[in-house]
Amino acid sequence: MTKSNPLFNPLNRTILTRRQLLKAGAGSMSALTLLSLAGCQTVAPGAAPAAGDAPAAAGPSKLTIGYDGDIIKLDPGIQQTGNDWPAAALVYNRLVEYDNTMMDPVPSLAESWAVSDDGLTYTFQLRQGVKFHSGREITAEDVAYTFTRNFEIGPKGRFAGYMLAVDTFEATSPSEFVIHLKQVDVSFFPNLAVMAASIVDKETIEQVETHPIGSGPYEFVEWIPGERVVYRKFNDYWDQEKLAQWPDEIVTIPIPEVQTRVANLQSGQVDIVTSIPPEFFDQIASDPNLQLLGQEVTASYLCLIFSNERPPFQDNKLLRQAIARAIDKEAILQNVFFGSGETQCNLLPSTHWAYSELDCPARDLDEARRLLAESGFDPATKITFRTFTGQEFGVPVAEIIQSNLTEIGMNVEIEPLEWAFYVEDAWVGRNFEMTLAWYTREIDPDGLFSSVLRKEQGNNPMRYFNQQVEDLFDKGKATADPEARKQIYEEIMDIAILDDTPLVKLKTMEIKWAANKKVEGLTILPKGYPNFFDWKWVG
Amino acid sequence: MQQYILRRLVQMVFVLLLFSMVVFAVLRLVPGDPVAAQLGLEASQEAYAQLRQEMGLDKPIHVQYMVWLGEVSRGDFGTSWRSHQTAISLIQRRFPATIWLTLASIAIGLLISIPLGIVSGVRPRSVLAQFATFFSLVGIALPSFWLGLMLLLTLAVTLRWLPPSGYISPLLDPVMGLKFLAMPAITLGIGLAAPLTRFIRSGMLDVMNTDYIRTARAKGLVDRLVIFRHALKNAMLAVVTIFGVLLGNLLGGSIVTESVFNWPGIGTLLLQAIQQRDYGIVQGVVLFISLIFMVVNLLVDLTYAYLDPRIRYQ
Repeated sequence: MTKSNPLFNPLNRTILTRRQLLKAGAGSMSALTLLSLAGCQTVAPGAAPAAGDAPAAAGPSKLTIGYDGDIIKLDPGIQQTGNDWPAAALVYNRLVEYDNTMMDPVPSLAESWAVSDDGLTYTFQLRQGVKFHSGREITAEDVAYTFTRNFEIGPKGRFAGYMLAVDTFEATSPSEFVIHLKQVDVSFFPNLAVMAASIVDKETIEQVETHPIGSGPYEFVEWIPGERVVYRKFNDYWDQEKLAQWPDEIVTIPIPEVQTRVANLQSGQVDIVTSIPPEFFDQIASDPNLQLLGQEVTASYLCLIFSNERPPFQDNKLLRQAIARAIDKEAILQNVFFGSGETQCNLLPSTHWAYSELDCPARDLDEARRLLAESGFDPATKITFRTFTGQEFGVPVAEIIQSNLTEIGMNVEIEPLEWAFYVEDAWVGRNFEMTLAWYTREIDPDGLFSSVLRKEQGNNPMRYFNQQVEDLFDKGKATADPEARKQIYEEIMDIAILDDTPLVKLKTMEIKWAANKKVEGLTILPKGYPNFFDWKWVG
Repeated sequence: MQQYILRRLVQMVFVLLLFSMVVFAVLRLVPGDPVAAQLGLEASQEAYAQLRQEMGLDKPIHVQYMVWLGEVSRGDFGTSWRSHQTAISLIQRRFPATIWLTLASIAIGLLISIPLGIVSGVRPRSVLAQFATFFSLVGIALPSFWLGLMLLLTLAVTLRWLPPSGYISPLLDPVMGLKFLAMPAITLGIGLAAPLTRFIRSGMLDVMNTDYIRTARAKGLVDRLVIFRHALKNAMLAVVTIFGVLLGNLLGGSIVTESVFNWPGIGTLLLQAIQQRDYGIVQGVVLFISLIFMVVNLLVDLTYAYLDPRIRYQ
């Protein structure tokens, strides 16, 4: 900046006069105001009047859901997170939809189905007259197109991973679709209800990432990133009886701050909020206008996992067992999660049909020290414990474990990682000695932990491998009798969790939502999603 | 003056170019990328490599930068990998909310700080001056996150006077618009008023002891004229400097306050884009914020000339 003193140069013609400055200032302010005016039509989340404000004019009924984050993708073929679920569930149908247990799917686009005696062929009869939001009628060709597209998407989406058992598929008539399996897989069928199996419209597929067209109960209206997603009732939906029970419009808005999310629910600005941490349970339960929506069975659990690819845990079972004996799970449960959850070592929750009591190792510091000494590991060697900061519990849980391990003489350093780095480096890059892992899987026992414990699966960054466990998983998938399956998974737990110890389960993770009383009968599925196909709006 | 402004504008282009290089490089050097955010935990390393290639992230940084620069020259400042919306469209949508919040918090900040600063500068031993000192200390020390949450819990949850979060343009619905605006503006306004009060107070203290003020008083001018016509303008010089910085910060988005009140401004847009490693949006928004900063600073420099007749620009 060049400054001159006009006191010594009174005739300088390039000086800024007050009039010029005022003009410049007025110009700038006008520009700002114009910009502001240009945006004055913007109506962002929460624009509905708060409780106690002027009464809303009679109009379409609206349900607002406050999510803990924005959706990531609209294309069901590549959707990954639970926050994408409304976009898939409301806009699309699948051949079948989840029931509340996620184990026994109910008819959707497929009105009925038959399984061949050898369990290898599934024949689906499609519902007649079902339309996409574009008005075109759905045929079996659309189902075949969706399957082909999803297999082509491959590892970028989830579908191929769920459909490993599928050999071939074909549309045998406009209303019949057939799937042939390579081998019997009892976990296959419920996977037809996952969001990646949403049936897409091939004629509008080019807009699947910006304005998806499906056949679900709600049409997509708009997505304003970071602000809201709006869905409007599809009046030609095939299940008119259920449609009549639901609001005209559903809006999801991202409200990342939990306190703000709960405040919005309490003040009536939103009707449902997701991801309620345990410290808010009492506050919501004691409010007569609100209800806590929970799960009967959860498919979510938190673990401490060890790398089997690098020292010190590689091939050192005794060291891993020593740590399992030293961790105070009860302290984690009470101090970080306010008592919400279960700490048993079985990866299955106690309410699961395949659950069995295991002889879980209790906390025993003397035994932990003995195992540590026997393992040959030098306790003075520093172990780096990588954890994530994206969830509030990531660091506090790590701190308790660090303190527990200090009690047996170990030297642990915590390295908190921002979420995106944790995913890229620690998880996908498998760059860790020990780290926290939060798994949310399918509720079938195979779905719940096969991808965690089987060789080179996406959820097995530990690179744990035991051929005996592999064989048992194969056997489990091919066994239809529930009691026999239960025995198989108990055996897997005995080998993998009680003996090999590639991970220590810290607790089950209960996923709770909250809603006002305008929402009736909404169930949170074991995976943490709401069942949008079985509830009622009484607003 | 036109030459001076023109020179500053040319400088801006170079600064923006330099800044874009830094932002571009830093974004790609920090750990975590959009592929991780997009594919989640269960994808294989092959899937990561494939998507990285598709998104052009496997190319050297300077090649990626040249590609981006080419797009910028065609008016494309970046596109979101999530929603396929452009950075410009998202900024256009979010900026009005940021302007409203900025204007409202400045109004609150000035309404508090100017009277408090003047009184405590002119009458430094008065009770009000003691209060001003206390207020500015507390105001600076209070984290805006805490203050925002307290307002939220009190005014929205307990008393139910105001909606906890949201936004609507006050031009569209003045009543609701102002209700939505109140809490975030108070939170930011108090944060703004605290340092401004200190600066105005200190400026007034300096000026009130100068000879020309004594002369003005000796001429028999009443206090009101001495303070407002003679003292305040000179005392405001330092204030304008800090005000420029604060204004730039506000227009660049207040991430913490916007997050607490779910205010759809530039700050939360940037935060979400960083968390998702949405490179196109981060680059576009950061460039926009730096441009705003430079324009505000230029205006501040021009304001000096108005406040102090000795300052002229060539």
